[in-house]
Amino acid sequence: MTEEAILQGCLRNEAIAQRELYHRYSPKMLAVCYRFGHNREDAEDMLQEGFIKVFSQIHTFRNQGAFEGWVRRIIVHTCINNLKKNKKFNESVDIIHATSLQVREETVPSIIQAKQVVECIRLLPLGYRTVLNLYAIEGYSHKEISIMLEIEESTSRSQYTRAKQMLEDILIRKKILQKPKEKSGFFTAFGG
Amino acid sequence: MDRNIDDDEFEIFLKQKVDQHKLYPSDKAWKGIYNSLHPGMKWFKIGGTLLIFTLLLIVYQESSLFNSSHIASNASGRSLTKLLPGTKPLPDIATKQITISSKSFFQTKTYNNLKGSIAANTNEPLIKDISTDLFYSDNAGVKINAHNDHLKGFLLHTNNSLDYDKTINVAIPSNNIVSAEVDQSDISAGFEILKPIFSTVIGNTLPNEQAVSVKDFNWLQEMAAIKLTPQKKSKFNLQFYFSPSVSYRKLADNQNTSHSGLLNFNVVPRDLNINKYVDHNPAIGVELGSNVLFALSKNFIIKSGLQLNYSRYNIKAYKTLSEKAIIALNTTGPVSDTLSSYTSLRNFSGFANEELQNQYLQVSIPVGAELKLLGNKRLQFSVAGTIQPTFLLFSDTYLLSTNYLNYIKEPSLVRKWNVHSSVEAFLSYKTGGLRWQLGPQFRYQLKSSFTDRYPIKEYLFEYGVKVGVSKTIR
Repeated sequence: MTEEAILQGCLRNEAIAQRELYHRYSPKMLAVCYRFGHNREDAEDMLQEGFIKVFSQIHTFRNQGAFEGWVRRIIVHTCINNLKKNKKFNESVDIIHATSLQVREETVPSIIQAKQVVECIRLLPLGYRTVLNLYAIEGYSHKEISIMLEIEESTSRSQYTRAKQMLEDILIRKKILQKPKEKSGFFTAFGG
Repeated sequence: MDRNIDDDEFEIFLKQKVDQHKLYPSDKAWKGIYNSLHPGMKWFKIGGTLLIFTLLLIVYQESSLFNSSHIASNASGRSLTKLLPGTKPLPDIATKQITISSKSFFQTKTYNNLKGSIAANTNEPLIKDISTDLFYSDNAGVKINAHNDHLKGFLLHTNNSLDYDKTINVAIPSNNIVSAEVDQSDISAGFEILKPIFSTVIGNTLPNEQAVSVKDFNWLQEMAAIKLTPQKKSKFNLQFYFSPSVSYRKLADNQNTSHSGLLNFNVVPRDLNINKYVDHNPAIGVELGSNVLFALSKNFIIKSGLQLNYSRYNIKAYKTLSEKAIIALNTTGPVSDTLSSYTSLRNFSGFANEELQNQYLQVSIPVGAELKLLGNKRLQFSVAGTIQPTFLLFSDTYLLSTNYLNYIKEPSLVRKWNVHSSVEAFLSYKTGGLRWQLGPQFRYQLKSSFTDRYPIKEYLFEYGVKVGVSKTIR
């Protein structure tokens, strides 16, 4: 089915079109939820809630920009609302969740590295992780983040700086990144 | 997103790697979405399942009745009997099943060259003692139609030798019948009709016949083995019950000892009974349910159904300023995992008292059995037990922090699926088609209220008085 046909079917509340749309975007969106969530179960709950909103608000999609981007924004907002609702966002945990990585074995090395990077992101404290996800990966500005998370813009900036530093340290320790020899150099990935 | 800065290489690297990452959700996620978008279908499926189950139950009951040797009872409440095999069904009238025990009550008459109806032959009596429209098997070839108000006997017909001591089925209409006609074409030569005549004969008597006196007839009616077919009793009963109960809990600490280092201190030594360090009191809950009972024998019944339980208990706590509380979670690996939250509730002391209440609303499917120990048909003493797979519909629970200092809420640590067991003893009394029961019941939760990640285990238990009523499903 083409995306246009899927959208039209979803507007008519057709289950087949909805299922098709869900299967197309759920793998990526679940990965988004997984980066925000506490665990896989939480991530699936947020995915479910997010897609229900997608289908119920699909009539508001105005074809301005990619559909995937529109879905992703809804999913991200659902994740943030969920974190705020469960008050998990406000916690400040001093202990890094240095659990062993549970990386699913894949045959393509870059995929393995992608999973490793995601697991390293999930090792960050929740507050750092959220800001890093929103700024570095989802592309929100600190001003937008401060509104979403109901924090100061300066807090968002400082949280991001600390998160980035912490993540770099983790990636280097896990040998996913190589520390640059020169200050102005860029990070290089092991084997990539 | 209106960022307008250049992403550095680290961020580009992150974005590239993260975009490659995909996860595939379980089927449960889509089912949840589908049911939310199409709620009607979910209820349609539930309704359809219930309808099919109900239809199967009805078909089973109907087939039980169809296969039995009895048909539906009439207004008098007695069962009717079917005719001999091969016969057509009787009209809906009262029947008797009579055993012919003596030859002397029989008279035989051979009808040869029967011309027209018997009623037309003035030397022959009216067949006044034919009790009903009896349709015989195909071999017999005689159809008897009977009408009138004074008939008290019956006509037994066979084309074989006389069958004495034979139980036959007779239909006696409420508006007695008297005369009868025999269709000549249906009678074969040498055919004998057995005709036990024990009523007064109106009009001409049969030659060489021995009319049975009224006295003999009355004796026959009273002393003959009249077997009234008992109404077959359904083995299924439907039961409703209600039980106010007292709910309480038992706690056990199951923490990994390695966690103690994370917390800097422990208020309570690890080995002591945690129940001594919490102040909790029982509270009143309630149980409501319905069961279908199936009697395997007179004394043993199996049952299953649906049940709702509301359980709660009180906790004494204290208010304090907001402070951080940590729960060290049980993990399988060497490194610990924790969960923290801010709370203003303390277990031991604070600036004001606070009464907390943990509540649970569960639905379960009890499966079990009842055993009658003593009693008769009316009054009985029985014991019963069930195993109840349970699902938690709703809970509002406060959990202790690892150092027992604080109370916090963490719904993700509450277990949704559980198993309960119950035992009960009761007195039951049958009156007016209903059986009432009353007796004590004890219900115990077999798995902890919380997931294995939470180090403290809680086992709920309830004790109360159960009141129930059951009725046979017809």
